Amino acid sequence: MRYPDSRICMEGHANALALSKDNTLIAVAGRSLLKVYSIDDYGFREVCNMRGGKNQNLSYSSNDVAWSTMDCNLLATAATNGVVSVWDHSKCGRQKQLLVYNEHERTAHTVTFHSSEPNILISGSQDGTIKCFDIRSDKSVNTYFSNSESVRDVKFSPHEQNIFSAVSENGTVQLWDMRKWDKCMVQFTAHYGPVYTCDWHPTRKWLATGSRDKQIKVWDMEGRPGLEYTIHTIAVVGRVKWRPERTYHIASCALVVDYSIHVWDIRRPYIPFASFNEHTNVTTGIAWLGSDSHCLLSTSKDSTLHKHAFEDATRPALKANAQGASLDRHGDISFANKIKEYAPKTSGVSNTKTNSSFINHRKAIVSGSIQFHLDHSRMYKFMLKDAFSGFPLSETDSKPRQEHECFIGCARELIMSGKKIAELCEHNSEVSKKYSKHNATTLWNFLKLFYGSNHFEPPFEHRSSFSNQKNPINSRRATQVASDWPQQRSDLSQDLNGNAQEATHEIAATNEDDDPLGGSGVEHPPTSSVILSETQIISEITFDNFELLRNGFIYVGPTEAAKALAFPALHHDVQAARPQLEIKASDHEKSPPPHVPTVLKVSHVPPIPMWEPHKFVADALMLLNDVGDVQTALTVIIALGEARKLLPLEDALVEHWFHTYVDQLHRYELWNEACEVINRSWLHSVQQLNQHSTAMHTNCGDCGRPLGNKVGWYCDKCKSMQSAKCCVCGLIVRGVYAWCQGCSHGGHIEHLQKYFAKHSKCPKCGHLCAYS
Amino acid sequence: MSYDDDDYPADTFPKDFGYGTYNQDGLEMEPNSTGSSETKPRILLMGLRRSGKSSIQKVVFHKMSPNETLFLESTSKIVKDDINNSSFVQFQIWDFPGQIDFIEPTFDSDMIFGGCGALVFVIDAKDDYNEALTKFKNTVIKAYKVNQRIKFEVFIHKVDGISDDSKMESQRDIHQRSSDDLSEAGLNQIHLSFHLTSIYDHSIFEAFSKVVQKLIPQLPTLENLLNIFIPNSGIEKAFLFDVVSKIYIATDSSPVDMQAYELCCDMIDVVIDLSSIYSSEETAFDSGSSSLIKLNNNTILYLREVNKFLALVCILREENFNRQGVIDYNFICFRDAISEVFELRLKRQKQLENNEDEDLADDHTLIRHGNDGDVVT
Repeated sequence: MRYPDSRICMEGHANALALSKDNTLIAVAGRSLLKVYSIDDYGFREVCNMRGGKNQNLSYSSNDVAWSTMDCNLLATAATNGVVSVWDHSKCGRQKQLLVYNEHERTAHTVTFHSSEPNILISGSQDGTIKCFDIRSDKSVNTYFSNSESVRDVKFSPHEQNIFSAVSENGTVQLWDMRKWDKCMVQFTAHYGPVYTCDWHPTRKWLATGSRDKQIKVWDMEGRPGLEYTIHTIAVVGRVKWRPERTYHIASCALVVDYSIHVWDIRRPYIPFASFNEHTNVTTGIAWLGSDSHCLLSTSKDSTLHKHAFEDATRPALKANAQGASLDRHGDISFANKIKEYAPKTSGVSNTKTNSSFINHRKAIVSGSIQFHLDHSRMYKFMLKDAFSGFPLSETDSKPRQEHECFIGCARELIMSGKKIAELCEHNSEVSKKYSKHNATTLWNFLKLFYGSNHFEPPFEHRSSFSNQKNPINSRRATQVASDWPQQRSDLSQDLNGNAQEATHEIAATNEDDDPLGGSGVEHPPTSSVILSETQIISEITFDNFELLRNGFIYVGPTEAAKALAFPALHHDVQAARPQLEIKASDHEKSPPPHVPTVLKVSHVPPIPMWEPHKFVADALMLLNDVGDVQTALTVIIALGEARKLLPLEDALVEHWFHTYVDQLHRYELWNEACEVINRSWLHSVQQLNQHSTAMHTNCGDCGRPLGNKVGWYCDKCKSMQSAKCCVCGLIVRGVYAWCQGCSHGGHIEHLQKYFAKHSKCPKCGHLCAYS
Repeated sequence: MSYDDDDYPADTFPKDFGYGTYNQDGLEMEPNSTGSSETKPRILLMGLRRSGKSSIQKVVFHKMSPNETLFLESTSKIVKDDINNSSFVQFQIWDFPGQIDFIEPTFDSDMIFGGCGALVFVIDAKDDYNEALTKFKNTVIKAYKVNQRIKFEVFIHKVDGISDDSKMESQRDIHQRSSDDLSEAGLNQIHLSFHLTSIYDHSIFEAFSKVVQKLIPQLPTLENLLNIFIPNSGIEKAFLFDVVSKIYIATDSSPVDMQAYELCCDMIDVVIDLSSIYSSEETAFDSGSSSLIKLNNNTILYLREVNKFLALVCILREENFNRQGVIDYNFICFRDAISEVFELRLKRQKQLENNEDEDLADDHTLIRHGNDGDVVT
């Protein structure tokens, strides 16, 4: 059966609606509104208006309305001034208002009838009390003190007579037995904000609560209350209502921002199952038409009353993308997709595809389980192949290293100088690999390429598209290198290794005008360990190539990462190709370039759109720093030696990195490493660190006075040289004098070591020393 | 917890909250100058060292920016700091270092707890709170002996640093343990309120609002007045603010939305700051103060001065502001009603009468005003 959508306008804001027992009448209550409509297939028809006439009274401005569960004529309202009224809409005029209970001190928020006792109703109020009324008497029968700020909602349990739940503004849920007014049965904190609504599940012993913390929580009230499900909505939850005939569906509406009514499947709590978007202001009341799960009634502050057919609802869940992938900063990828049951092969294919570059680490976590119940889905996690090959990481020994272990290990093993840049980079990339810092490894390799050789890598010329070219581009690039290189060098006719310095100077001189970064002022030290050069790059470079190059080599930012993810094949190719390239590059260093006739005739030097790796290296370092790896960033800078001056990094920033790293090293008590870092620094303020607090004050072991200025071991007061003597052998100590800072006694270090192997107290004064 | 305790302590009523006679135009109100510090709602702020008491005090009552509180010196000894200036709330911070105990002769518990309306105990949520809970228990027992009417409020503070789930966990845990402690001590009847607070958002203001509201015996009347005022003027939400501290004394019955509250707070700041540029400190907020801010979502913020301490801030839809005259007229009725409520109290207090039927009388005032004064729109 299909229900047409129907809608009626009322005057005034509506705050609540309620359905009568036989589902033919609907009561709408609001600020200046209390009306009863009848529902039929064609829409709504006004049956009765209880605010008609002149009798304006505060008890008409209602917060909540409830129908009697037995009598189709009776309904109750809770008013903003705390009045609870009982109405009989079959009577006329003022007689409609049967009873008025003016007992609540502050606003009454909610009212509800007992499910089986026709005469009993309860109301909850801002003053923190719940009152129980018997409509046969004109006073409250019972008062329950909830001991909280204010009670926002009360609901009778459909499963047990006399039990009702009350939710309040301090985030607690209480269960009361009607007969025991002095103490609640159960009380627990459900939300960290005010709870505005609750609803009992029609068949299970579940209670749903909605709160200002934008969550709907489902509690299992059997025995000790336990949290079953949590739904995160986008706005403050105003009302919740379980959908009849569907165990896992619940409708909710928001108090602010969101005007829609959402129907959630609690097993899929991140996206609504269905939404109704008709209202133009905040929805204030929702109800399912009896036990019909396809018809929803709602009212709103836009003064309309709507009847929604479920078929017409939008289904946000269906529009959602059924695939998801995410990348963490180590380069690991997790990927979830929907799998169709008749085509399980899909996943297998994608597996093998990616396997080449990623180890399929953990796979198939869930299949049709609780969280992903609507579709069969599968989740994969791909870890970057550790060390790109060499360092096997099988599932058994995949115990991840603690971060601090990596830090300490790297601090000890990374070398910053003493070798050629290329060797440094190679060593350091090995170290990074070992500690599974893939980004750092890539960066080191990159550095080796660009700074390790004494020339810039002349970029490749071909602009063929990467996507359909499975053949690794790098081999072509390598040949390009080979052909470009001689062209550069042939004119100079310099021995590459021997006279590198000279060559560099010449190039720098010739290129001064063309090369903006130039490095022309850079004085290269005579060692060949720091080799920098600028070469003219003849071939034209397009930015496409740069992008792709960077994709393969260096992880500069999130967008690039996303690209790398999008073309895993590319990623793989580039990585696989790199070793070849490196070999090629090192070949160049060893052998003087063969004199090959140039392929390109260049009459003049064109304006060079030269690609500066410096900027990207600097960016990469910044990024490393941002993700918390100042260690690598700083080591790179130090290792680059003079080349660091090419990087557009501010001294203040580098200084900051120095301080951070030294601080970190100190924290792990890596004094030697910290000292080395400080010594390597070229910044004055960092170098000074080692000169801070180097003074050592000594005092006399007998009188405790500070020892005089002139002679370190002579006490002015005692007039003795006791402090110079060993307290074990009694002789004057020459050389190393070890002493306890606690009691100021000491002596020959070997004597003390022997002594303290057996004793724990000072031989002189019995002080509990701890020589180390 | 109920507000109709017959013998509510008279001294929690702010004496100087009453009004003198009206000027001829009926708008000018002179605050009564006879108020003494003993008559305002008085709040003690206690807690272990470094739990954030001074920061709370500075942020809420001295407009200090939360980031600056990092540089506050820790309060090393018992410090009594009165916020007694122009606020509706009187507030006394009683710093309570760990080593000070109740046997100390300088600790005059009768004086301290006797006249105090609420005791706020601050617990650092990020810290281990075992010690704090022990201290809390002792404090409550001691205070309860002296003054049984004290409201005990627990601020689980610094929750900005912890996740949503652990917020709830710590609230639940602290609630459970402190309740157990008290029932062990045989004090089941004491009711504790818990608030999750942080100075980096408005939760501290909201929590303070809740605390202060409990100390105002006229609160139901104020709320009812607002509840009448609002629908008749087509307003969505209204707050009655204490101008200095930006805590709300009363609001209507609809749920408080934090964003709306923050907007209103900011509006007060704007109005006061702007007003201070062109006037002296004293006259920055006076009877002429009013302000109107139109937001780009068809919403209007409307501020009116109620008296020296209080301002009414309303949120309404733009189309409802067409009838500004009606709103203004209703506002005057509302303001008159408020002043009458407090006037009545003041009169009673002066006559040193038993305040048994006072609440009743208040309601009469209310209803009369509700029926006569407000325009039905």
